[in-house]
Formats: sequence, C-alpha cells, structure tokens
Amino acid sequence: MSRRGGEEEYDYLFKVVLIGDSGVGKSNLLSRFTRNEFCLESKSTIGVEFATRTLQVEGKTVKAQIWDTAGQERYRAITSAYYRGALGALLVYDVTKPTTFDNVQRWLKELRDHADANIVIMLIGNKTDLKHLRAVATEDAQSYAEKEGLSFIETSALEATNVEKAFQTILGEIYRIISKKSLSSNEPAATAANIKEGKTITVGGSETTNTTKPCCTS
Amino acid sequence: MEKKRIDDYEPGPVPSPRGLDRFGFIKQDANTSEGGVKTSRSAHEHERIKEGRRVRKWRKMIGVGGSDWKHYLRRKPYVVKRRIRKGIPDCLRGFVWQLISGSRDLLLMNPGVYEQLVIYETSASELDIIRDISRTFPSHVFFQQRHGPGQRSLYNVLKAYSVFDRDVGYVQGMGFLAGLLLLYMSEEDAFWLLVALLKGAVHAPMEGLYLTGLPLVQQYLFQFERLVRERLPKLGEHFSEECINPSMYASQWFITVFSYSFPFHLALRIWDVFLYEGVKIVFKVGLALLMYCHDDLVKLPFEKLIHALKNFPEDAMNPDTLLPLAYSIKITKRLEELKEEYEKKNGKMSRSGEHSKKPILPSIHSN
Repeated sequence: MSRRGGEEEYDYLFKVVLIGDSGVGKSNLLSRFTRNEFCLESKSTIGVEFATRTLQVEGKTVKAQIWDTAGQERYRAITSAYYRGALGALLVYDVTKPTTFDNVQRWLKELRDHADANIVIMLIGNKTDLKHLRAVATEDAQSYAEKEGLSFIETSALEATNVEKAFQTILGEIYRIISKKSLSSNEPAATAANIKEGKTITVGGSETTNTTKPCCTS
Repeated sequence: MEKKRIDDYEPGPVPSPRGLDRFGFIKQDANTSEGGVKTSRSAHEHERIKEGRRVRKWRKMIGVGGSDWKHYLRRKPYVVKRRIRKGIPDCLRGFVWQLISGSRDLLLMNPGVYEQLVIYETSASELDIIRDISRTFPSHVFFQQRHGPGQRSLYNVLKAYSVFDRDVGYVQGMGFLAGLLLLYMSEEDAFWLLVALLKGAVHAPMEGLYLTGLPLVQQYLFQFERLVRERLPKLGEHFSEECINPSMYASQWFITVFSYSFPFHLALRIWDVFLYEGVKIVFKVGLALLMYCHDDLVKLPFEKLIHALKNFPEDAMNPDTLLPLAYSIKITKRLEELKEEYEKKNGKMSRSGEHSKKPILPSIHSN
C-alpha cells in the first residue's frame, strides 16, 4: 500500500488510552486536544472512540493515537482490550465528584491487570472551571499521585486549561522512556523502523520490544 | 420559513432559535436536507398522496385498536413483512411497534406494575441514570430541557427497568433505546417494549447485550467479523491487515440498534424491521453499509478507515437504497452456525442470546 500525498510524516507514534469513570469529561478532553472543540451537549460514549493529533514533543514529531473509552464499569469487558499496547494512560476524574476520585484506585488495578507493566500513567483532575463545586482538593490528588508514582495535573476541557500541557507532559514522558530504551536496546534500528512504519511499540519486557500492532484484540 | 416549521411542531418552549428537522432534532447544518433528497413541490404532493394511501392500508390491516392485527398476521405474514420493510407510516409507528414486539400484550397483562416500579421502588442505578439523562439525544428538542418532560420520562423508564431486572440494572446505551421509543409512545408503553426486547417476548432476548461481561455484544461482534470475512473477503483481508476489528465501530450498532449516531429517519426504518424480524437486520444493515462503501474502504489506511466506519457518507445512509441492499443479504442459517461455533469456543452463555425458559416477569411476580 502506498502512502498517499496527504499523509503526515512523523517520527513516533504513541498509543494512549483515556480512562476513568463515566461523565468525568474524557471525550471532551479528547476533542479539546485533537480538534480544539468542546461540546456541552455531548452524548455518552458507547464502546470506544478514536482520534489522533500530530505535534512536536522534545523536538520530535509525535503522532498521538488516542483511544477514548466508555467509562461505565460494565464496558470494561470491551474497553480493556484497548489497554494492550498502549504506552500511556490518562486516568481522569472529576474534581467535583469525590467518588470518581475514589475509583482511581480501581482504574489503576484495571491497568495493572490489562495494560503493559511500564505504561506511563497520568492522573487528571478535570472540570476545574466548576470552582464553586470543587470537592477533591488539589493537594490530596497530588499526594496520592506521588504515592502511586503517577504524574498529575488538573484541567478544564471547557476552558481549555492545561489540556495541551497534560498531553504534552505524558507524550514527553513516553518519549523519554522510548528514547532511553532504544539507546539500550540491541536492535535500535529495527525499533526505529517499526516506529516509522506506524506501529505502536510497547514498553514492556524484552520480548515485546516492538511491532505490537496498534489495535489487535483476541 | 424555518420559523414556520418550528411553529408547526408545537414543541413547547424551544430553547434555541435554530430550526428543527421533522423528527424534532435540532438541525446541525441548515444546508443539509433531510435524507439528502431534495424534493420539488409536486413530488412532495405526490409523496403525500402515496403516504395517505399507505396509512389507509395499514389502518385496515391493524383494525380498530389493533383488533384485526393478529388475525391478519396469521393469514398474511408475508404481506405484513413486505409492508414493514417498506416502512411503517410514522403516525402509526408507535402503536404498530407495540403490536409487533409483543409489548402490548405485556402491558395489558400487567396493569399497575409500571407505576409500582416507578413510584415505590428504589434503584442502585439512579445516579448513573441521572448522569446520562442529559447525554441522551441531547440535540432533540424533547430531551433538551433540563428536568423537562422528556428527561423525566427517560429517567422513569430507565429506573423502572433497572428495578425490574436488577441483574441488568442500567447500562449506557439503554437510554438511546428508551429515548427512541419515548418519541413514539408513552412511558409505560416504552417500558414494556423495553421489557419485550430485553426479555425476548418475540425474538431472542437482548439482555445479554447489557449483562456483566456484555456476552451478547461479544458474540455478535464475533459473528459479524466472520460474516465480513466470508461475504466481503477483500475488505475482511484489508481489515485484518490494518488491524481493524468490529469492536471499534460496530459495538454501538448492536448495543443501541443504530439509534446512537445514525440519521434518525434511517434508524426508524431499521427499527421497523428490527422489531418484526429481530437482530438479523442489524447484521444485514451493517454488512450492507460495508458493501455499499466497499471500494472506498479497501483503499483506506487504519486511521482513515476507522473514521470512515464511524462516518458513513450521506448517500450510503439513504434508507431507500441501503435497506433493499440489506434485505438482499441472506444470513439466517450462517448466523445460527456461527453462534454455535462461538458457543463451542466460549462455552454456552447463560441468559444471553437464548430464549429464556423463565417467565418474562420473574421479579414482578415475587413483588
């Protein structure tokens, strides 16, 4: 298959999943990041949605391939297949809804069970625009994130606050891990080639260094 | 002109001055005409006359209050099938849906049950339901108003169902089923139609789409993937090369029976057939869409492919071309074989895709 003229060029392709309870704003974070759009009347996500954006990270052109998943617990039967091969996960809660923060623990377990061990996880407290309704303190989330070894940021998809920064940060972290890995890897050239071809690479054990297809599920 | 259309509709308070389409959805783009077909005045008049004739035929077939329906159905099932495939007249749709789904019988057999579920019972899913209410058909005038009659009915129906079957409870996607029904019937009627569908009054029960593990979604996706590979081998091959699997684009088709993101006039036509012939039509329409767009799809790389599979072009979604194509696809026997194959591989599922031996109303009788 030939690459068509309009196809963008990129140095890296990173697969990232958006997870977290239903209604915390995952789909709007995605649309804000990929299309700079926010929809107050958005429908709940059924199954999975997908979007991409190509941007500069640490001087490299990175294509972020983002899978947005339905948040309701029962949908994990379908959505957990999408964790596989993901290099990053944005775990979103709603700063106005403490239960969505309490459930972060369960989402982490979900990632441990289904995602690659070295997946980069970023905790995101969304909806900071609803200042008068805030129910999860920044410090609490911050210290929780530190304890669990996650990066952390608060965002407002509605006001476009920190959305860009959140994605930049996680993609940057993924990039640093990948570039370190390919330096120490036995076959850096092969890895790089696979990246160029648009395959997602996995930061897992040595047996899964590369060529994981973006999406295969069993 | 647009203003007049709104007045014709009598929707109560209209939250925005934008125009509505004939189903009550707010028009996203003033330039797109309904169904993509622009009709002249005389053609429009011709349509109206034809529609009038159809309605009279249908009325005769149904009889007063549905009195002749069962008789007619027994005598001429093929006439009924043919007429349904042409589309049920919109003014009779709600009533006919209740007849063909078997929900009308459930309603008549269970007086007072719905009221009890709504008023006296509490559900563990109440907060989940509330969270999604404003996210169900948000662009429809009936469901737009916060705490308005549309949102209240939607809440009541979903809550009642979550009490009625606590194993299913409430699952995202059910709201689109309930919402679509509520545009054509009362709360109580919509509730019983939901029961008829999920419990399998006429066809295989749908509840497996929503039970823990979503077992029926998994089965349907397996069957669909195989059908694509068998009927559209070139596209099937392309999908596996590009790592596309049906969970990426078709779960919504099954979970909401095309009501989530398809043009409403098409969704309604599919529902006409779905209620009479069962879930087969979802497979057929899915295959027909892929068939219709086949030559474009086989050329697309992964990302564009996913986008295309979620955004079919307007001409592909014209019911008058898509549905005849769907009807021409014969899959009944193969679907059954694939189901058996799936069950052999995964173990037979309980309470999903099977006609349940249990009575439809277990939880009610015990109340």
